[in-house]
Amino acid sequence: MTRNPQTANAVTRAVPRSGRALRNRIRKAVPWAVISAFLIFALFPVYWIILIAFRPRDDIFQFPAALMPSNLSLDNIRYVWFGTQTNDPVIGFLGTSLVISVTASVIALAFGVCCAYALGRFRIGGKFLSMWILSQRFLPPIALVVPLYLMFRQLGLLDTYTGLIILYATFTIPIVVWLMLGYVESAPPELEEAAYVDGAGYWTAFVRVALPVLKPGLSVAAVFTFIFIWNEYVLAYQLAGDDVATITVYLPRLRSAIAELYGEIAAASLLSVLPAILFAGVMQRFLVRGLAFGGLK
Amino acid sequence: MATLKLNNLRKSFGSVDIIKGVDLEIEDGEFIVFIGPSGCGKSTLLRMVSGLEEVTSGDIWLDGEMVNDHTPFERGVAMVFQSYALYPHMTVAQNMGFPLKMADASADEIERKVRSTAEILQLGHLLDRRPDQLSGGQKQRVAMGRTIVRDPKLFLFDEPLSNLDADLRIEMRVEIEKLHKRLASTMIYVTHDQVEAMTLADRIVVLKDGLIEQIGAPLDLYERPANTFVASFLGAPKINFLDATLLDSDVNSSKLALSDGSQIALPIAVDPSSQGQSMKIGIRPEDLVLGEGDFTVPFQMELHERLGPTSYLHGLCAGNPIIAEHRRRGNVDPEEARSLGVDAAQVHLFDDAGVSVKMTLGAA
Repeated sequence: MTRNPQTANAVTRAVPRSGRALRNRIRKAVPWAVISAFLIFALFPVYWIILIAFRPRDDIFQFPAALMPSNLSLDNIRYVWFGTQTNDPVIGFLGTSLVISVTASVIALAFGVCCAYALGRFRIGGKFLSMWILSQRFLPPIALVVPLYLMFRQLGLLDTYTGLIILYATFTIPIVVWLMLGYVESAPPELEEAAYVDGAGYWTAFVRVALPVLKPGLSVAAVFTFIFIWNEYVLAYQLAGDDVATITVYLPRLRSAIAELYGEIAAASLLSVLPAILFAGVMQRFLVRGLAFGGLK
Repeated sequence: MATLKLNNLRKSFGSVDIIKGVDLEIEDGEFIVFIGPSGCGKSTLLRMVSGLEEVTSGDIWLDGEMVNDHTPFERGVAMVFQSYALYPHMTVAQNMGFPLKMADASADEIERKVRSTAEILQLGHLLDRRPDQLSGGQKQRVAMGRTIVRDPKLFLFDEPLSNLDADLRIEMRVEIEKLHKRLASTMIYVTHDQVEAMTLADRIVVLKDGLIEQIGAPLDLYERPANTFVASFLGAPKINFLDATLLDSDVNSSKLALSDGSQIALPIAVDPSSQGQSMKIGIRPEDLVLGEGDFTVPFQMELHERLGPTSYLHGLCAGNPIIAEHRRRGNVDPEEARSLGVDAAQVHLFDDAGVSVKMTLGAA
């Protein structure tokens, strides 16, 4: 009996095909393995903080440490939220951080986007001015702390909301300018030109036409600015910290001389991260690219 | 409705001169097309007229008033951009109503005018859509609607059809022509597409390197080009040029030597003082025929390109590459196509500077 030639071909081809399939599978699996390893490394501390925050105090120092909790407790959250005899409630510090971060971000965005628009559209100052603005961030903030302290003391701005808001707005304007400059330069100038022809002045064209188109960039800048201010510790500690204390100043206070309140620290850390995550989540829906190009070819 | 006068208009960007002195008068209700190759300054000239680009020197007179220092809105111009430039965050109705809103029109007036314009442009059902939900043709219509709605003195179009596909371009071209007939407004249209220029324009302005090469009605420019640039810019395939030297000329004919030494006698009279000068004979592909004509030129066929109802014969004439249009179907035998007949009335002669030479048809 003769073998069907088609079947014979199929058999001879089957071996290399399965070899190729295996190689493809490995090729696809390698990136996933690398990403997974990185994620475990990066996210494990976060997981550990969550674990500590929801564990009873006695379980925190358990050895060997259990990766999955057997007992869950809201005690740490409650201590931090309502305060204890030794610690103030966290809500006041969160509020202070929120007021300062939002106000300073709004000021930085308002000034920064106007500045970026002028630099990008009207070529004011050429490349030199935009580079000079960025150079304001070349120095680490700590390098300026002594002159800033002296200035703030002279102006009565130490330990005040106004002082911190001015400080953070000034520090973040260069970031906003540089982020927005790219967006301004890539946005089509024809839209504003069309607005001029339609009867708009420079300001109307900027507010009614350019700004809505720059919304994705504004969202990115807002997220960056807010998170930078929310997380800043050094200046908040040196130039304020008594009457006006932000959440980043509050956290180290929990490492008191009497006891290391790890559970409370973890709970407070968790609560301090939530506003930033919420803000980034809300802004994400504005981060949709491509809006600018819908009205063009 | 407006008249426009450009008086020695110049524009420089730094040390680079873009517009080098343009004089032009446009009558009320005229449809003018600026045409020229990329970088010739046609869009810059339009932007200067619109007020989006400052004038380096010279004057712009709109309806008898000098408007150099007026904003685009004060000039009363409306413009359709190459990229349409629709506001992406506004609906079609808001886009079209924007100029009226800027002019402080009432909400009722805005709605009424937007609706009536939308009906003209068949956009009534799209008024609540945003630009990213529209096709290319619909965006183009909205851009036109935005200009019509405010009843401007002068319409400006900056290559408005260049982003559309071929079919849509024809359709929109007809729409623009109808629009001009309906509104009878003064319109300036910039394009590099000669078909758009020929079909739309009352007069064409051909620009090159920031200067006007020729102004005239489309057929005048096609039939009587002022120089080799205009002759070659209008017409597809391009006009054929044969290098020649004028040997002799009298009232009835001229004898020219082609570059390979062969001589042809044209039943055309030219100024005898040009004798001995290098010249270019310009003949359009459709004026070359297989067979006899007023005179013939030698032809060596290399390729027969069939397009359906018509075809193109590519080859050499005394060393010059030329194209002849052939309107009959079927094959052409290269051995039979050894010469091409020419209608003498359609021949153009240019001097060695490329300028058209004055000539008259011979009496014979």
